[in-house]
Amino acid sequence: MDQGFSHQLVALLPRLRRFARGLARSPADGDDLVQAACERALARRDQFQPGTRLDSWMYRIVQNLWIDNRRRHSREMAAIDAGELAQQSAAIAPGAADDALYLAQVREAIGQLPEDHRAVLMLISVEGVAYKDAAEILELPLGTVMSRLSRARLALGRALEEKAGQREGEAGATIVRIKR
Amino acid sequence: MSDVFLDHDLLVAYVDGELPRERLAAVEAALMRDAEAWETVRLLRLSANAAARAFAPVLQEPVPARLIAAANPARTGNRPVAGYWPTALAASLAALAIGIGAGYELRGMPQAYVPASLSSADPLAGKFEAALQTILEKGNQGESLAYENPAVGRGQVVLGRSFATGVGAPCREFHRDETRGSEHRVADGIACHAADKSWSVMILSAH
Repeated sequence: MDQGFSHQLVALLPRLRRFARGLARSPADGDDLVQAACERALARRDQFQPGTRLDSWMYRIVQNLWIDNRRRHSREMAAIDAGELAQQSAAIAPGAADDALYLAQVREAIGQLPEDHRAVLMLISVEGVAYKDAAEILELPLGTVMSRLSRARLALGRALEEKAGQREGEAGATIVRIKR
Repeated sequence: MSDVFLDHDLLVAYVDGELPRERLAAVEAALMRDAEAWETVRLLRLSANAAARAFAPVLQEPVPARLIAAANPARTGNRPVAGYWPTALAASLAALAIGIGAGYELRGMPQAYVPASLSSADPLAGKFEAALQTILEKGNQGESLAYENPAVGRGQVVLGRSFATGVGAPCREFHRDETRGSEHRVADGIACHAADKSWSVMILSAH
């Protein structure tokens, strides 16, 4: 067993989990995805070119497994997704910091983005991958990566502004009621 | 009018620092004359920061033992796989810290050191963590550092090889040797350096 390869894989686990969490939208599904990706990576280790970036290779495996997975389960998972998203929002303890609530809303808003926009957003804006590397990982032209990214980011930005507006609206309503 | 058309793809590249240097001045000049484009830039920045912050806490979570086992299956040969593996691993998994920033700057993401030990009730874990931190900062391969809590036990950390994950973030292998009362345990681990100088620590196996 090549310890070096495995150790590199282990070192990447936190980042792979984060990427997979964004794709799969739930911690359990994300971790299943990472586990499957590790198994596939070890089975196909001879296909990895030493000297190239293991993280890019792993992101691609995660992404490809996710797409396969979606094709197979697309219908049943759509139903599960809605339920899990609701659960995640409900899991925030009352009195938790505003910031945690906000970040949960951000994750929820990202979860509403189209699948292929989300992958680009996660890779570039969360994982910090450069545009050209993201294009390679996703096997897309650079122009497509940029247009998906700009649309995802604008949609997310607008969704968050809208939510912020709603929060202010609620706060305003409370003040009015107190005044009476 | 400006000679640069500020479409959204150009603006996102501007916000993310992906524009070639020679185009930067022209885009900034055009931005000065375009309030709508500024608003777009604001939203593109807002969403980048929000997305990075929303998922940053995942790096601070302990990595489930099943994933570490999937990435690093038990070595063939001298030791039995079943029996000790999952439970011993779970027990030693108290150790995970954070912040693999991974070699490149994560845009706008704050990354602070978070103590490796999740079991703050365990005083020896804190000593281990401090020793590990020290030797990771200063040590060379093969060097060791002892730690002790007279009431609980003692141990030592030995520094192993250093390796990269493909993004330039250096990681170190280490070995831990620990005695608590009559119980003696050894473990291997990996620590990776983050952009902010913190260490992400994972215990691979314990027996």
